[in-house]
Amino acid sequence: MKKLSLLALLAFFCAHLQAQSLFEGEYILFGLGGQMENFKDDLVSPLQYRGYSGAAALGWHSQHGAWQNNLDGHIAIGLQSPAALNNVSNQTTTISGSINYNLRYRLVNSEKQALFLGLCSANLIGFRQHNLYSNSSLSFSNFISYGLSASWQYQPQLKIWNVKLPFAWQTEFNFPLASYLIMPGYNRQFFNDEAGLKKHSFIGDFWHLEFRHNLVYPLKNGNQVRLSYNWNYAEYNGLNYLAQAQHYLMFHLLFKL
Amino acid sequence: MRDDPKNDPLTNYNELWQRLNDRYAYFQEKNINWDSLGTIYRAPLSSASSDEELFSAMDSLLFALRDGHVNLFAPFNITRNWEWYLGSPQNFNWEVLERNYLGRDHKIAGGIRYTYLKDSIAYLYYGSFSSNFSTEQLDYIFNYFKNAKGLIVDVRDNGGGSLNNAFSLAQRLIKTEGIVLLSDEKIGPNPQDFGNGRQYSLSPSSRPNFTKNTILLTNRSCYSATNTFAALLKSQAHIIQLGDTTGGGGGLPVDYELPNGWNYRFSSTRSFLATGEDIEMGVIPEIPLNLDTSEYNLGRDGLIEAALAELH
Repeated sequence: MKKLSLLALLAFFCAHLQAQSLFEGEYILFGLGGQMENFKDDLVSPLQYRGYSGAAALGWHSQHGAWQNNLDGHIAIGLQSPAALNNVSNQTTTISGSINYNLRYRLVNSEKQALFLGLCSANLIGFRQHNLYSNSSLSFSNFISYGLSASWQYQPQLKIWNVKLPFAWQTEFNFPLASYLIMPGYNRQFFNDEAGLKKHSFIGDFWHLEFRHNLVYPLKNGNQVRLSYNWNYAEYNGLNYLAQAQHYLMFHLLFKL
Repeated sequence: MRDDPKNDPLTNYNELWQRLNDRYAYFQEKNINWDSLGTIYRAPLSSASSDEELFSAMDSLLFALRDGHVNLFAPFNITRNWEWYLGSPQNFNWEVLERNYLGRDHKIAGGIRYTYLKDSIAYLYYGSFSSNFSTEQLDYIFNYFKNAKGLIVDVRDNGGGSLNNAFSLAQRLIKTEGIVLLSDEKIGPNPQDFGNGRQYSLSPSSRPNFTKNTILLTNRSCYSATNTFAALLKSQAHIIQLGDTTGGGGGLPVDYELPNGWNYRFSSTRSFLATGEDIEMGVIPEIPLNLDTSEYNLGRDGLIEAALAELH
């Protein structure tokens, strides 16, 4: 009886299941979720820091025919401590976030699947404050990266007990080839009130990768809910080594425009 | 992401040694053989060494830097080298100052205490550059001093604080504009990797100020920002420094931590007078003078008395 009620509820929410892609159209996106933040910042510590953050997202997604435009960002705030040490008071407070833009063109299109390739501007920021430090308590990183982008969409048109379950799946991958880096200098964060390190860097000196996986479920009025898992990784092999990795799980609500 | 270093005594020791080897600013000025010191104090350590033994080895290593801006903070102790003032006369007695010079009705604005001493000589005591003051408070103080014949600025026992406060106060005291301080910083791991050179200019404040004859009283406990404050005033002909050489601390400390979680700080920059003279070991007064402590019993502060005599 419970199963039947659940299926009836799902059927109500997806009253007009359509053959066309669930991703077609324009959407504004709001999201809330959590993030696991990992970083190793040579200005802060030789140790990897890890902790959890609360996260929020905002964005605009558009897909018309063969073209896909996505602009979105997220911000997260949380506390981290050395992953390998217990019972220490060493702690950082980190504000991190991302702003991404993707422009992609559909190269493969079948009844259930589509593959898009294009370009990305992937920007990753992080501000970290150490609780035990004074002059050098603040560290930061900003990867303003650009490169290639791909997305794969899968819309299986599932049926269970003759009830259509219109879930869809989208995996996105951003692979920047170059990045403009803004970071602290060797010993100090700023010189003449400007970040100590500002330079263009190419792949090899830095790595910046991003994966996103979205489970999409349409609502009655064309809106959508999405469960999104993102993995964002950036690394710089310079005078001050820096690696920043984020796993975040977000619940997105998309309103059709 | 790179792996964390191991958390054992030798790795912790080596991490500390290497970080300072690459980033500490004063090896050359102090003629320190860091390789040799590292070997000497590493020798008794092993993977079985206790935290106390590790701390003791690090304490000995860091002590050799002769730098008040170098400390290691463990849960049970803090390493320090305070010889910059413990090895010298204190030249200051707060009780004598408060009871016999400031008196019961002296004024207090922000962290500054001020009053008039005898013969229209103004007196200002500033005990910490960490104690802030506002622009309006400085306006009030220097308006109050506008008819003074001379001024004694007493920064004895001021261990430092905000450089902004040092610059703000110095601007109210200087008469001529110019370059007052030079600095650079360690920008790479090699011994010669210094850069980001900077010149600090200072111009007289257009707000209420004091540009008549001034005596700056210093002792060895004037450290860090206070040391810089004395350096900022060094080029001014109407300001005479009297007392003991300041404690030093010309480098800006930065913080870091070890694989075991202990954190530490060390000097990452160097500072020089406009003439190129390094101020890490202190700013030398024009009139060197130590207090005769037997005068405390008479309620006299020999440095203030000497300053009063100079300003007459």
